[in-house]
Amino acid sequence: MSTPGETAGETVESAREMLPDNSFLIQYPHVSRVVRSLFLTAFVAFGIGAFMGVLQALHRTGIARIVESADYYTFLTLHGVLLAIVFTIFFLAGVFTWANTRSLDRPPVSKRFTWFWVVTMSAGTAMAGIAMLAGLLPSIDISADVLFTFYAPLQAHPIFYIGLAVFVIGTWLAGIDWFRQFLAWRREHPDERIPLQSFMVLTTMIMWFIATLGVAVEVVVFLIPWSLGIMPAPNPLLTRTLFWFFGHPIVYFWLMPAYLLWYTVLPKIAGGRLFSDPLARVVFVLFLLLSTPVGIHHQYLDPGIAEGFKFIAMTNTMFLLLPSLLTAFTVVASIEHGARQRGGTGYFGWLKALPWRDPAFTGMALAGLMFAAGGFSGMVNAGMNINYLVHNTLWVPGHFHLTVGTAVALSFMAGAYWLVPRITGRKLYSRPIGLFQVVLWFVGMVFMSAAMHRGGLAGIPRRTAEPQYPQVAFETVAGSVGSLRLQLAFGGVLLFVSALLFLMNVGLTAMNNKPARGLDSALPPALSGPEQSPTVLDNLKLWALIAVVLVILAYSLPLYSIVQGAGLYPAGQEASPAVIAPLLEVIA
Amino acid sequence: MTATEAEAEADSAVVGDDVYTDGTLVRDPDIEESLSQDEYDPKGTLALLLVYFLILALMWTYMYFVEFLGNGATVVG
Amino acid sequence: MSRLSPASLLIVGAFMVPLFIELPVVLSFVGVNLPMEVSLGMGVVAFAMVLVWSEVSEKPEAADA
Ligand code: HEM
Ligand SMILES: [Cu+2]
Repeated sequence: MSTPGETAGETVESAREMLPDNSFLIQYPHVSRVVRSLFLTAFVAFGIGAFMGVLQALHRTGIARIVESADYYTFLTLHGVLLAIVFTIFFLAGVFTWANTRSLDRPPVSKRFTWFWVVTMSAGTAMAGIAMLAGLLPSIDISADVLFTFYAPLQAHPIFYIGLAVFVIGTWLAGIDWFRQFLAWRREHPDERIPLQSFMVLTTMIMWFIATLGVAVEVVVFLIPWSLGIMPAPNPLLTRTLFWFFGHPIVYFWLMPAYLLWYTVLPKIAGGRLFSDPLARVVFVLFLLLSTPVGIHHQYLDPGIAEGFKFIAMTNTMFLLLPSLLTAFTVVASIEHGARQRGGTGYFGWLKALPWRDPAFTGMALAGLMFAAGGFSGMVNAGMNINYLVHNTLWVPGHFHLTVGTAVALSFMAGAYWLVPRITGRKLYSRPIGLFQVVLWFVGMVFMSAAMHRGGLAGIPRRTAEPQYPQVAFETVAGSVGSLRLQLAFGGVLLFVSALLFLMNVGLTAMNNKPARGLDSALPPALSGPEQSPTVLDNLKLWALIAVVLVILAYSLPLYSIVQGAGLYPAGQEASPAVIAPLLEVIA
Repeated sequence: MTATEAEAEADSAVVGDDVYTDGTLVRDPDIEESLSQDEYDPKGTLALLLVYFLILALMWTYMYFVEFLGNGATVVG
Repeated sequence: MSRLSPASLLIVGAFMVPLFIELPVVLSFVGVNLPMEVSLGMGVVAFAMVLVWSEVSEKPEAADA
């Protein structure tokens, strides 16, 4: 591998000297390389996933059916896994590597170990990716059309599950790496408060360690042995529950890095300072505590789980609104501070004083706005009674394209516009294209998501290649179903164009021979600093312990009653599709 | 390339907060002032959040009509 | 000279999209039936008017770039 200076000729090389001494690339060239390699994987996955997205949008609306309907689930699985798992997690691993190093002001303890987890994550991704892609080739007897929610009875080829397990282990190693980095810092600074960005990284990773226990048990104990044909089919309800044990907190694994950018980078871009460091810490602690004991809210319609457990999950979910609303306040107040420092006035007039021409700012601001809208549809999903109205309809993809598909994905794209120059030393290829691209994502998503929400209210199902039934007429609130389909497809096309523009802009930035400027990596201190908060906030062991206790409280009884009910391996469970039987015949 | 270098030099005087992602200078240092915690009262944030809560309340009212007047009662289990 | 820069026009236009998409829904709530196509068409017209206004209106003070 080569550093950018070697490949780029002397312009960037000589420009290196012009970079401020405290710029990240100068201080940590090796960490910058790690981040670049993680971002590269993230963006490749993003490109493929976005292509699948537009295929789906055109297909299910009947505008253009380029693929066979029979292959729809292969595409949908690729879309879900590549975007919601690979793109997000590789990108956030890059952000965390950058943030932990920057805020602790020291590199990870061992270069070898860092590359080891990068390679582990990549190898797992490659295995899972091959299994999914092979589903498109009928000549190969491998497939993984099990959707992003990979629980029984849908069955994938063992390579898919093994790849997932390897990938998750890679993320654990990454977390261990960031903790070692922190402990090394702690030895030299025994009495200092944990720097904010590092605090965010560590709390997020503790949450992730707890959350992934569910998926690890699901995959390693049940799915892998089952797909290898050594064990019978597991209880589907059990695998579903274990999946959602991880499936809700993964939502916060996506969001917390976006929050990290909103809390620490966005105020700087807006020309202000973070409103309150203590509030930011409280928010991350609350997410650590409350992210996991809520997963059952994805199973409101699952028979076999008592209503009481569902009610507890709903209550916990409503508590989760608290840190989200705190975030809304702190982030908006930090931006407003920037606007007022730059001469903004009035109750709403200050909005005009914000740097709207900067794609990094506008992207994150629009992402936050869409998240506010997603907050509403999320409250609808979370309510046990109203959930029945929208369960498994197109409303649900409508909701999470606002949250993960925009609040997270658009923040990451905007963050990339700010971060990529900092880890490459190259000037952003085009700011106007960047601005146009983030706005186009917003507009496309308004079209697609609004149509999905409305279609869902009319009862149109999600995860369906051809949701057009002569016997059923969907009744919409406003406008015809035909017009909703057009809006969905139109929005999907705009989103795809926006994704291409993003990839092009970032790719050309990575090859840009013009040096980046103004790369000071210092972030402004918070208005109200950490010294104003109780030190107990930094007691990570305590919070981890409470989080574990809450999880045990929320899950032990439901899991116990599920296992009591149908057992671990109920008789008569069939795999679908049965990939392993032919394989065993060949071996035998 | 010389143009870029010239720009870079001009910008390096104000390097740091005063630049967009691509390094183009945009802020006017004249109108810039530093607001401390005591001088700053986030009333715009309050205004925005009130607007948001208002929209939420209206949407919830609307939800009432969708769920209870649009369809029959939903009974599960 | 235009009152709004291309970037401002872009932002203003973007914020109009959700308004005109939601308009028919809000109206149906009070019993008015406005087809989605008409609403979006109104949005296009409104944006065109902003464009024209931006071109012809005078700036309050020339210094305000
Ligand atoms: C180019 C932009 C995108 C387009 C056009 C698009 C389109 C779609 C469509 C139409 C569906 C619903 C398919 C169905 O239920 O039949 C869908 C599902 C989904 N999308 Fe996207 N999407 C895009 C971007 C994203 C992003 C950025 C993410 C996350 C980071 C994402 C995550 C998902 C997930 C998790 C599903 C559900 C998959 C499943 O049901 O298993 N999408 N997408
Ligand atoms: Cu959830």
